[in-house]
Amino acid sequence: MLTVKDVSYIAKLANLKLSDDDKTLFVDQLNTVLQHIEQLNELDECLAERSSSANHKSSLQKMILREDVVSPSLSREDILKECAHASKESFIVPKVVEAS
Amino acid sequence: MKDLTLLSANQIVKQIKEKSLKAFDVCKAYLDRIEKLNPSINAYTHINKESALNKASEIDQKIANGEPVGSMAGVPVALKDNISHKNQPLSSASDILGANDRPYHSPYNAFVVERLLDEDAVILGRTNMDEFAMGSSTETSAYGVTRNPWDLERVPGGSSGGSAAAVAARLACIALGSDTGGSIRQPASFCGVLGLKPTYGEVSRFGLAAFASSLDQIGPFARKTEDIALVMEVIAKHDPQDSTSIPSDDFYGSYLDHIQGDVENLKIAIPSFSWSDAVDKDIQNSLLQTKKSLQKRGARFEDIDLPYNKYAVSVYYILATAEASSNLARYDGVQYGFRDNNQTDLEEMYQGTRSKGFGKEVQRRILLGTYVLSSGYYDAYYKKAQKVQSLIKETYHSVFFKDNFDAIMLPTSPTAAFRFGEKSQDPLQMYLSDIFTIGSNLAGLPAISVPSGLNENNLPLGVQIIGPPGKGLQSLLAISSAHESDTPVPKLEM
Repeated sequence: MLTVKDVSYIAKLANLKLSDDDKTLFVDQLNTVLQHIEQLNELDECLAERSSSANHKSSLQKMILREDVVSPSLSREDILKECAHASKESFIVPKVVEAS
Repeated sequence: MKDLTLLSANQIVKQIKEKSLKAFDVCKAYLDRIEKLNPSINAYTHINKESALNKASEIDQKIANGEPVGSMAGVPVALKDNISHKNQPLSSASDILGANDRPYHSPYNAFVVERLLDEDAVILGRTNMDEFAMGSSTETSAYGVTRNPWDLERVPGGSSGGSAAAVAARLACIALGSDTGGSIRQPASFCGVLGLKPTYGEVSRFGLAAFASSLDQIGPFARKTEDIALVMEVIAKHDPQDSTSIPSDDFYGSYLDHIQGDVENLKIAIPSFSWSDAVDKDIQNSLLQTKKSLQKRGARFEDIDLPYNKYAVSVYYILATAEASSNLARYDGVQYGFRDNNQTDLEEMYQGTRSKGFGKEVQRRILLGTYVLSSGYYDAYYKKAQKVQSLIKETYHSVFFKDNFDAIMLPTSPTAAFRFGEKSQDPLQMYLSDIFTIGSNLAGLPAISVPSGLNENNLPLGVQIIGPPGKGLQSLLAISSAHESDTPVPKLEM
């Protein structure tokens, strides 16, 4: 069973900041879902011999990566115009290096 | 004057090519209807009035000049708000992509959009959805709910609820949606239209905002089987920009060759759970009716067991949330979309942006996905879910390749459209409503939902047909065409 402390820890991993009310709500809802998921334990015996990757991809699914050659990409201007805070050349973010 | 929104896509193309119809008039008829009806349904989040009319005029000009036009010339199409259309807004119905404020605009076209435009389709606008396609009711959209055109007090299904409602209310001739666990088929069933999820890899995901990449597939909504086939001819092609796009050219057969409705000697399986108490009686009756009419046309039926299907929802909510937690890590406010500018520290900026930008359902799924992937829990959840996925996949494959069935027929959803708020407070109940659609996503199989009449409350019902991978779509289209001749798509008076 998840506790409020667990949910706070997971939220930190996921870069989410939750209010106390949200934490309580999510603890209950996530526990209900996790309890349902526990039904998978019924299959433990039958899964013991299986590898997780077996048969995962069908024969149609051959992952093909493109050749490693340079091709035209989107312009810097097109990309930066979608940014909430940018200069003409780059994304601007809060300072991450402190002065010594 | 004749109502042009009643024409099928194939009729529109034929009449435009024969010069008996103008693309501009078709486009205008749809835009007028959108103006009149969209305020009460809220199927669209954005309408491209000007660019749609320009494209339609361009097609008419080509025809006047005697130039060739594409195979979807003048067909009005709507796009789900997670499919990139160059210079048009894309927000996945989320505030984190600036839904209500400053929506993100796609700097490029999705592969499917490129194909539609190459074939002279007219793109009308963008349709509403559950935020990041996470939901079964279109209640989690930052743009507010979409209403089911058959009963405005009920949900249209989800997550592609706007696309389904738009096609049902004739606010679009065709719409594209995306299906990760049933997000095309369930709303198609709730709104009384056809909705197809192709084989995984059959349609390129390039330009689709990702939810769970190993399950996501783009597919069409239409009111006729022949229109589903027409769209598939256009969008199902190998695309090197998607590494999971099926590379073999033989795979992409002709879809329009398989809509004659010849189902004689097709062997169809019905999973026994379709007759369980968990499925509403009206749904079971329509399934039985469909079975009887297909039997008259020479199809053979057998009940089968799909023993691991009951685990599908659990497997799905581990795998899909795990992939989502990773895919949605990119929304941090730095490069695009909403940013919480009140923060002076980088980490606080990330957290502020994500907490204010994502809605509750998305946060819930990110938390679940992060948990099942976290150190100490990965084997117990994620790895186990992958193993059960392979079991489920094997069961489906043995139905097709060992027992030699051509298709599996089952309900699309255990109920008809439910009322707003009925399930939104209880995430598990909402998740369990996907029980019949998730299996084909986990197994990568093509599946279609076809309308099968109305219940006593005048709500549409749907039957789902799942096919084997590869050429399986051909038997789906044959069954769908035959079914359509016996049970026409219900006509909505609106």
